[in-house]
Amino acid sequence: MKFLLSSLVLMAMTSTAFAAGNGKEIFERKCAKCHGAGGKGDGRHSDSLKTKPQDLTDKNKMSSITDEELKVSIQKGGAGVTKEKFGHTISTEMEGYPDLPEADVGDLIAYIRAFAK
Amino acid sequence: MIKPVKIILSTVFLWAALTETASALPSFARQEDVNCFACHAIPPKLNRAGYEFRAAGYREPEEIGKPASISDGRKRVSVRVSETATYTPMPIAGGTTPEVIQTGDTGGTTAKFWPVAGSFGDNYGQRTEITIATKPTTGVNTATPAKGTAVTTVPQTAVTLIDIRSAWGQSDNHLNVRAGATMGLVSGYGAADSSMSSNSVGTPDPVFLSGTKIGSKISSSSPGVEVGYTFKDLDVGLASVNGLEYDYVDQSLHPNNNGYSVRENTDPLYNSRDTYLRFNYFLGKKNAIGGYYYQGNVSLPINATGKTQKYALANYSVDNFTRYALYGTYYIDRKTALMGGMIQATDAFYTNPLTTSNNYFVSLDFYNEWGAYGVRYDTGTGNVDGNFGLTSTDAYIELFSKLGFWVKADVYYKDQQNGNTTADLITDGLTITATYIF
Repeated sequence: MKFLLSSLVLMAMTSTAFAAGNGKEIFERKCAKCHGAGGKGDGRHSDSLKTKPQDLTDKNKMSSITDEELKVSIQKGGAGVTKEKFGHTISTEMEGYPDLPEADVGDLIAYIRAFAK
Repeated sequence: MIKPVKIILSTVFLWAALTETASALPSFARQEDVNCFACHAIPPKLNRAGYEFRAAGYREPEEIGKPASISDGRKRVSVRVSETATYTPMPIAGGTTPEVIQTGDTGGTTAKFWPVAGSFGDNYGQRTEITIATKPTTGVNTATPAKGTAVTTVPQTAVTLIDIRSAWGQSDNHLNVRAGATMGLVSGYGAADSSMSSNSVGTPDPVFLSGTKIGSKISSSSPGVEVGYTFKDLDVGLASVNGLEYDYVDQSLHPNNNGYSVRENTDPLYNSRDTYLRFNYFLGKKNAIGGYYYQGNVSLPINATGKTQKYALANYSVDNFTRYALYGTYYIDRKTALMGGMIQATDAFYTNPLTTSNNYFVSLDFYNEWGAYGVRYDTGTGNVDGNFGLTSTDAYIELFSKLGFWVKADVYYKDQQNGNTTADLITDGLTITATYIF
């Protein structure tokens, strides 16, 4: 019984990580340099860029960004987020990763979403 | 016949179209999966992240001591192709007659190729540069008094840089060792990446007199070793540089003389060494001050033309020189940088007393997603016999596209005194450079 409860608690604690799959690893490799490991937009390159990277822990802002926009920005970079499609633009300094497998993009979005929960 | 207006409009349209499309990134950016502007204020001018990346051996400082993979060699190759045209009003000999416009002084097409650049092993990184020019460029003797003497020829294909770096320690506390051939010497953050004219032994490129190009920028590139240390916001380095440089004419190694010339065995400065000590200190996350002390020498072979060779030794004009420089970069906001600097130059021509000149510059650069725009003002006192006092104003517009194309237009006015011949050396004009980089 104790083992079962412990397992359930452990699963609950790590559910975000499970949901994010490879998201954490991909985020740290490709995103953290600008967005920061904690997603606050304070990575080591953040001050060098002409536009401050998005604070991914900002609940209000992140709730206004759809999964589709996140997907496009990950795959095509800032250049892919057009006013025609999303009603606004983001910095073109945001790099796109077109070679990232679809499943990894989903994992990455899940991991990014967890910052604002 | 296509009208010029149509050509201009088509160009603008094409440019707008290119800027809307997606990415092609040079190898360092591809290595790190970041945008070029993560490390460059304006390519090639570095920001802090870029400066630290270079000091860490072409890798993120956090990656020092960790294995770097070069398995995807395709990512590590970069190519740059550029074409330059200069439009220059030239003074007539004596400076008394009206200037004439020389148009389309093209520098030819130049291609640079960087194979497998970037980090490798646990602690190393390298950048080897191969240059291919469509037409050879003639180096010009800038030494007093035999100006205008061609002394060597830059080849059509050459290895123009070998820069091997290593870093040992932690991200904010590491020793770095750099060795290479034809390595850039005084390279620093922000303002230091803008060359500061001292004009004591050389003149900015290009300089014309009586319709003849007589001036070449004194560049500093030689084989050497630099030992540096980075501790938090401070970075220092000490370098010793020898002159051995590959002579493309006779296919052998000769000592380099800090310019395009090649030292011969009879050169009094054959095998001599230059030394420099540099520092850079970051104030906050973007601003910095830096400086260097450089002790070196230059000798330029003279072809006698009947002029008095009062500085010559055995057919060489010799100068032992020092340079002290202090410069700073201050970001007014994320997109606007104010830079300034001064350099004091002391020169000891072989039979001449020490002469000293002071030179200053201030520049303002603005960057946005389309490109960069800026102005720069230089002023300085003359040196030998009052020669080479320089005042210049420079304005530029540089536009980028994410496909890797960019174009730069640089308008400048320069006024330079040449007391030796009583003529003014005036090099004002327009330079347009179109570049593609992959």
